[in-house]
Amino acid sequence: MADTVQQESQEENAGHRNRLLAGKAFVAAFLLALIWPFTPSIEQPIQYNHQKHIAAGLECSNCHTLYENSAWAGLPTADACAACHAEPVTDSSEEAKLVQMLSEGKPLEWKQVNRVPNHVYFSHKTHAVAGEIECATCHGKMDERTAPPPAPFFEWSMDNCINCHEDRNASVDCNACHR
Amino acid sequence: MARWGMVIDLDKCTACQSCVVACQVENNVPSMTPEESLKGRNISWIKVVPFPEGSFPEAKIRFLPLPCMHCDDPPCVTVCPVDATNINEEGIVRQIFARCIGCRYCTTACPYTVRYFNWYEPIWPQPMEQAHNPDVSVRPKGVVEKCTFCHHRLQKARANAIAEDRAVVAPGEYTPACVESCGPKAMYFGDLDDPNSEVSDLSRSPRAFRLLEELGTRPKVIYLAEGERSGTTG
Amino acid sequence: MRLGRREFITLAGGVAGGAALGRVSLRGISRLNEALEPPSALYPGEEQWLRSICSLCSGGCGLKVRTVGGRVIKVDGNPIYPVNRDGICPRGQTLTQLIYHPDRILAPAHRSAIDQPWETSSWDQTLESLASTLRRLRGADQQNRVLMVSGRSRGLTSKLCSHFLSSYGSNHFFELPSGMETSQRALEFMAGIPNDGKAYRMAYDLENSRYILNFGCDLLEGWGTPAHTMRLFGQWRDIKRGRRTTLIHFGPRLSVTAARSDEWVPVEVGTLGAMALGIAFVLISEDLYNRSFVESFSFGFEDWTDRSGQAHMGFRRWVREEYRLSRVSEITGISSETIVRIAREFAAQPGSIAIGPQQSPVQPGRLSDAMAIQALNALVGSIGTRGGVSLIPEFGWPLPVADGNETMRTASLDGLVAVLDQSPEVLILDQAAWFIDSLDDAHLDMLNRIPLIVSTSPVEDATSKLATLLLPDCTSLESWTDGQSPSAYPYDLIALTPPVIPPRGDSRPWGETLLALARMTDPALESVYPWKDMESLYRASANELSRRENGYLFGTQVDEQWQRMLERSGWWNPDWTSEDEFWDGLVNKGGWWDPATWVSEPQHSFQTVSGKFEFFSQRLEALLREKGGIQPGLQPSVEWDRQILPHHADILPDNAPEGFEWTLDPYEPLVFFGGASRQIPFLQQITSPYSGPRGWRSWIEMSAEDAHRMGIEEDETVWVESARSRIQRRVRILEGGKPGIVGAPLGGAPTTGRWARVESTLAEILVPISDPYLGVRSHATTRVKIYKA
Repeated sequence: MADTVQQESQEENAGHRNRLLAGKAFVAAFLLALIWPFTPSIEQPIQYNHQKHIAAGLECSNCHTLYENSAWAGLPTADACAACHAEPVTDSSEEAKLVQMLSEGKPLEWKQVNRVPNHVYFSHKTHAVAGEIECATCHGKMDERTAPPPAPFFEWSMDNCINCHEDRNASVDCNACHR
Repeated sequence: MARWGMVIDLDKCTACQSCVVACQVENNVPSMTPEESLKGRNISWIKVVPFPEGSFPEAKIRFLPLPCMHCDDPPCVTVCPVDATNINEEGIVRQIFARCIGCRYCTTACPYTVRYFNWYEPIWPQPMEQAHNPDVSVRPKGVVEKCTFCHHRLQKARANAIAEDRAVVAPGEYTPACVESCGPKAMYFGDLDDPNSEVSDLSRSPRAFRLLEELGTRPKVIYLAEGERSGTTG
Repeated sequence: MRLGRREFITLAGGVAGGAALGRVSLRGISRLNEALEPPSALYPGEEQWLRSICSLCSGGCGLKVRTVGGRVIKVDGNPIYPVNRDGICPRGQTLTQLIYHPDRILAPAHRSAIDQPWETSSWDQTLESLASTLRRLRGADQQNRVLMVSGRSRGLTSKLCSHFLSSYGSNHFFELPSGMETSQRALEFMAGIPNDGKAYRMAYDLENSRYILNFGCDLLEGWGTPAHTMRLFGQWRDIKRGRRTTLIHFGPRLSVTAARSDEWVPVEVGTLGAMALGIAFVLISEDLYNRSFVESFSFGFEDWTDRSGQAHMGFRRWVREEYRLSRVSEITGISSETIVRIAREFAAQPGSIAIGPQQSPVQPGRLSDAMAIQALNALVGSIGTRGGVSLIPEFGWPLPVADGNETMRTASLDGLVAVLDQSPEVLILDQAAWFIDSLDDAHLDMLNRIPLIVSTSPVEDATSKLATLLLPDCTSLESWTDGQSPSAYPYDLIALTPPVIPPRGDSRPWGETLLALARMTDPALESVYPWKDMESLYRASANELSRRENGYLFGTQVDEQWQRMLERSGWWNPDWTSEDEFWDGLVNKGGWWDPATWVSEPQHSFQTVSGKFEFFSQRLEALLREKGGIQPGLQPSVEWDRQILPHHADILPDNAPEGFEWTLDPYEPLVFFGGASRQIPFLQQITSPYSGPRGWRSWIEMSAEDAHRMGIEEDETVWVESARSRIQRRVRILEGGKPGIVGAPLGGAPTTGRWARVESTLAEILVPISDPYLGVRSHATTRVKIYKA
């Protein structure tokens, strides 16, 4: 998975570097961006059902193992799924897909839905543990989702960050978040 | 609130430049191609500058590791038109790369010449970018960059402190990469306002001096002048 | 149109308001950022901190490695590794650039000739092609046509290389010299070593030295173990430790060490021995030497008569008659006042030590100079003392086979070149770029006639350029790696770390390749080395070590203090009780060491003919008698004793030919010593702290005085011509350098790979000078003329 992530970010960097835009088109895009930050819908390899798993008693940290301890929440590896799904436990077609992938030894390549720019330092630990902010504040009610979210629940813009920081009396010093 | 500062003991410095490389590796500074390197366009947030004094045989060469001075009164901040560089409550002069418009007023204003402009797209020959530090952003062409006192390390240390319900980052919990790598332990880092810290102690040493103090920049990088040779009657 | 931030500001003038705004609202600018920067911070993977050991020089510093998502991000010093404790040299910092180097060799390969393209192949195929050649030569009883040159010098893989070659039947194994050989030989002649078949090594207790006379060693440029020496330098000048240690540097070149010393004494080229004897003169004439040591425990200080009734000159009379201050001052170019002052300081306190001469593969230094320097240590009684010098048993990973610790070493470059002339068939180059650096074009031609050259380099370098077979090693972070007491280090130490990441591509640890090669070459060899991989070999070796009844597993500095205290009261509290516990402890803590190795007591018994420290070495005398005197023509000397007593002899003829007014002094800069690192961009950017970061090219250093006189500018290209040949170099002007001296670094631009640059090698112009005793080269200082290109 690490390789794919790396590859993606390289492609993005390359795309970013080579971006050539005509002035007018850019202004139009910019104005559009101000009102409608376009995000393509994200397809995950497995149509994971959060609702079912949470109802079955799984905690967030069972799969997003890092969120209480690091900047990152972490995404589950195939091993984590294999702990229960080495053999099918339901007749779900998505589970069948997963079991097939596991048996073939394929890695689970989850796509990261919520992204901040790489010049921003965002720590799950600081927000979720120290700030005691509910996961749902930024991620929505995951316990009601039967399929992976196609787009972020929270709009990751600096304005939104600052609004929240000001509301909660958190630091708005540039250095607190930018890196 | 801490006031972060660095003390560099010139007596102990061996001019090995380990700090230079440590900084480049930590902060995703690209290495230039040989051609650009020969033009002197290397970026190194800390550099070791030689100061030759006198001529043979009474010659002396002093070496000065030169990072950003993180001035309390930084000339670069006042000239920045877009607030891309600023000084925070803890005294760190930061460069918000994403805000920088590349006007280079700050590189001109800085009397210590420790601000660097990205003349090129940063390039790492494959697969060198595998070693990128995910804690530090890669700066695009056209922005100014400089030493941040490895501010990302403070962000992490602070996150830990907050999570453990501590109000402040503990001494030694936050150390820039250059200080960590120093073989002769010639570099010290800590809270200058903490009267018990090693840096505040050393900053009061009779050997302590600051660079270009007369400009009123009030640097927070403090040098210790070379020591006196021991007497022979001890 | 290419859009940058400036254009954007112009376009979006309404939003940003241009430069006129003093402080802009956070929100205004935030929109700009979001429009320009795509979201891109992706989960990088799990962060881990792991231990490893550096393999970029034989020092083997302990490392603390940060990995994220299985990628190596940063390398720092391991705080509990006793050699370097935290600190690390710039080379170690660049391990990430080596691991992820674009010119890494990631699979075994072969080619029919060096101008043909490489073809990658499987390990089995590639190894079989080498094994079949080895079998054929063995069948024809020509095992000595197989050579191996290695740069490892220390550790179990190094022992395995040497042992493999000897059990195969060749005795042509050559290793990078440690740089201590000549001074060690001198001390062996004067202080002796037990005749017990064990290996001994020279060690200095520099941590506790208080006054150091440094005869030319580039302490801060790769001497010993760089990170260790740097740590010592910091300690010498740590006011909290009390008295500051004084460092005096003798040498003609304004090296970084010279510049950073308390005093630089710019003696003429090749006069270190004379300088030492001048200081000895003052110690003796002013009665400043350590009487109790010299009178009771030394031999040959006063005049003496041998068994046959032949009278001999004592060191005292020798020095007083031959090395009067006026003569020493004339030879060295240093005033008598300076010599007297330094000698008095040297004798004024305990903890004084003289070290040197400087040594590098091309300049091992002279035995007579080294003996003069060791004589100073005897005069102040610093043999075995706190802060002194001694010979201690070599200690390292035992190779758990019969005769496993009998290593063969031929350190001299000349010996190696001589073997090249005997039509070798297979040459294995293992971390041997240093060796190629020392060769001139004629030698390289000899190499080109060798049918099969094998390179183990993990990255394209000077050895892979010459090779037709590649068996790529991986870096130390990709394999089990060991450490052991580096040269000059006063404590017994071994260390071991598991791989931090798996080997990149299809590269393999060289030790494992050797084990496989042994299996494929001969069933007899396979039975000698029954281990399937290096881990099991380390395990077997560690089991032998676990039976030791001394030392501790690595711990903090507080542990170290406590252990020393225990030892002083005669206690030893073992950290393990079984082989398994020792192994687990070793792997968990990273190593074992004995902080009580150095006893800090004046040595009173010596393993010499007289049982004392010998100013007149009777072993050297016996050796010379056997040889029938000193090589004729090299050292015209009439009196026998003159050849045995420490003395000075000119290395360069007095009358330089017309125009050859400079003396070129080759040296190894910190970034290149030991031959590696040319391909590392970060190191090319810091080649010298003396001038701006202009790497990627070889240079010479010229004094400002000479450069101005010649009208030569900084960075100008000049010809450097010796009696042999001429080469081009860029000039770096050295303010304060000694006029007439030209510093020339070994190493320079990469010779192969994507940044390759054609440059003549320095060896091309060097004129080696032989040591009359050892019969091998001692210096490569060369008279040159310099003119603009």
